[in-house]
Amino acid sequence: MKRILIAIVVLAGVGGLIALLSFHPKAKPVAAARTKSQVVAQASASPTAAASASPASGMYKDGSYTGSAVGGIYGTVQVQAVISGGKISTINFLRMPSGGNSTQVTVMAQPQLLQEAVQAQTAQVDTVSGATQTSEGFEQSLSSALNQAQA
Amino acid sequence: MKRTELVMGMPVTVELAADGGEAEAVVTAVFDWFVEVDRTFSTYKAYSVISRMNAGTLRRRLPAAVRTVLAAGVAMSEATGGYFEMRRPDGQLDPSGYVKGWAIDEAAGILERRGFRDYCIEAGGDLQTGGHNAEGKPWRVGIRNPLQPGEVVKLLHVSNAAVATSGTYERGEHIYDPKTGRAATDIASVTVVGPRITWVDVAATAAFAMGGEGAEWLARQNGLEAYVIGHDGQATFTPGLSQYL
Repeated sequence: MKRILIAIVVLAGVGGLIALLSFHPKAKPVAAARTKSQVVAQASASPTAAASASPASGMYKDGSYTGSAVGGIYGTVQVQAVISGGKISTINFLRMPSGGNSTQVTVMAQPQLLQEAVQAQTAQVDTVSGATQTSEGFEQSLSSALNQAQA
Repeated sequence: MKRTELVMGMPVTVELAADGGEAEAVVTAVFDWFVEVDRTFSTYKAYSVISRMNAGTLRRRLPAAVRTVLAAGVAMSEATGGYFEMRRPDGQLDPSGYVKGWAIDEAAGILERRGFRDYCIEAGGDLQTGGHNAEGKPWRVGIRNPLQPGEVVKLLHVSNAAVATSGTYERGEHIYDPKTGRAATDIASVTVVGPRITWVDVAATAAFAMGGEGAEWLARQNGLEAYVIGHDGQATFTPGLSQYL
């Protein structure tokens, strides 16, 4: 169940137009939007989509996926998403209404992050990772404190 | 077998899935290595190469290990956009943020060259694993709760992977944002998982210094997964972390 939601927020000349795109790797509908000056793309996915086992892979399979052409208020738009390293790297606008100056959006700020409340675990562990426990600075600080105490 | 010693100013634990005289000997060699690293790089020991460089009293050519580490420091600074630096705000050279991870990585090399491929080397909360634990399973690594240090809040299963955590607990606010010189405090701890401890450790330190931007930066790094804990008890993590759960 690989479902990618791509929200493209477009700042259009007259008011903003927000299109929510539902995008499936095996060519499913893609909606669209008109660009004028700036395109900001964001992607998110449901937590269950992360099932891969290889260390280098991400949420999605690498490759190029083309969405279907969708009619919008300003004309027809068709986009292509390029997945690289398991993450969306680029969105190409294959078709877009005239007047737009951007035909490719490189997805820079595109991290996909999940959230949860931390919860105490009781399972047995071999080792624990935590911020550095250092004794030397403590020892030095203590010894300087003790030196002062002697004065 | 498992041995813990206090070296480099912190508890260091080396665990092998194997037992016996040969295992004991190689673990001794690993601790000898850590002692040598400490003699060369400690900023607490006046006779170390780094202390003498800072005091301007070093009268000999830099040892190869120091040149290696300093060169890596330049590369790591570039790779983190300046968020990882080997100089303190006061200009003093302090490579300890890199040296620990590098020393662990070299120690793993000592073990592997002698044929020990199932190990866990942990120094001050950062670790590199190889192969499996004595039960033949991936090493079980708990993430300490920065808000409740006696508590583990996440369990990771790692094999041939490294885990490092940067945070404010244990020593107080000890990581500075090199760009502002101020202590980084936006988040309580950053835990990073990836193939090798050297880069994993640097990435955790840099991400912590980035504060709120750290998690997003980590998500863009190939091969790294992250678990970031905020002061509010909320964790932000990369979806790829699931491969270690």
